Amino acid sequence: MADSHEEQLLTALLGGIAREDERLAAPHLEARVLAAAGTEEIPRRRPMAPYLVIAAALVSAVIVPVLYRTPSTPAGAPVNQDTAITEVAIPDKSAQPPVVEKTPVLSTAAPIVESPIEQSALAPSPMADSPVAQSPIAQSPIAQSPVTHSPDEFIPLMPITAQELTGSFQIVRVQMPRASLGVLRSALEQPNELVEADVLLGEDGMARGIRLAVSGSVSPWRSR
Amino acid sequence: MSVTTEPTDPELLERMVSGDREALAIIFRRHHGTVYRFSRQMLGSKEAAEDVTQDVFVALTKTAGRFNPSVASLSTYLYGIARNLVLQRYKRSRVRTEIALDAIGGDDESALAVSSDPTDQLARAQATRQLRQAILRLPVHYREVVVLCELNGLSYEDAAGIAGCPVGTVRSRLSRARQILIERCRTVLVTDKPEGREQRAKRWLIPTKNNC
Repeated sequence: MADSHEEQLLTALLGGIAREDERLAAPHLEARVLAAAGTEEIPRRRPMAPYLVIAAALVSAVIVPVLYRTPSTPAGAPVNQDTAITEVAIPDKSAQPPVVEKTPVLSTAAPIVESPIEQSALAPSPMADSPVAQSPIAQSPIAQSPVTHSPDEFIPLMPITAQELTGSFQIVRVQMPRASLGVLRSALEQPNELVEADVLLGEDGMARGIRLAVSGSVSPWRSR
Repeated sequence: MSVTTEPTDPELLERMVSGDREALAIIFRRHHGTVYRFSRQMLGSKEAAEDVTQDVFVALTKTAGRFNPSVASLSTYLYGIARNLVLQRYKRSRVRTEIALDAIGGDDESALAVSSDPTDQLARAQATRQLRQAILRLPVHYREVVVLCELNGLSYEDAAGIAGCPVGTVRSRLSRARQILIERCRTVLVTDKPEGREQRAKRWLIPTKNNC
């Protein structure tokens, strides 16, 4: 137990240290600080890691077919276009700049574009001139028939808002069992066969659409 | 006759936020001693204290918008930033702090100047050195209250605001820290008692094999 003498002595010594340290300073740091403060930049947001993109694509490719196992519309049955149209916002294509991209990425429940193509770069529809027919929904193979889509078209995996349409997309090619491509109504003769599919990723890394890889197309990573 | 008034800290901060580098320089000159002293007393290393001081003012340039002059003074705000950086550094490299202990010997010359008695001067210098080392060996939550209240003269309320704990906690931590310091420095403190002074004087005056 500390007695009062020790307490007093400790207080005196602490006071002595405090007095000694009063003159501690580092004025030479001023230049360093000013230089450092001048060169500091606002931390930038990290770009999404490629493995996260691929992981998101794979997860989506596995989960989405399961969700689509319960078909809402039987094959060949007519689809209520009005219902489909109300699910997405249709951009005003008349205000869009002319088409630049060579290959349009067709949409289904929502227009989907290939990176770095913006939504505005969608190819004009070869369909009728009516506003509904001009909408991406009306051009959707699913809107016409769930099984008659072209191999070049992406099948939507989730509804897309008009805001998301203004962003860019990326395509990731993945391999997966044919059986997991239920959303594409793929033939199931060889369910375990690995097929290549292109997954369309939004800016947030979420898969927006999927399509079977076009036969004869060269996979980016295989071409290296 | 013109009267020039120094700009207040909030005024300087406003100027700094709007890009006035001179304002940052003035703030630095005003407060760097406080930050540097606290960092050095906490870390025991000159180099580490300089790094922390620099980081504190760089951090101030980024977080100046969060400073609320109605809540605390700028020095308290800077103490808070310094404390966080010191704790981060302490967690990262505790070994470094231990290594730095030997470098903290205090300024023996200034300690010697306090008394005219040579033996007393030496004893006091030794006690000061040992006490500095004991402070650096304190657990960090004890050390910070000793540094803030005892070495920098902050009130319990200010120390509580900086440490983010109630005032009562500061009091109890300080009391416990003082007990620990006394226990660890008892040998030095005992020799400074009146009766110990005679023993010490005999020890210093009578040559032995060690000090011949």
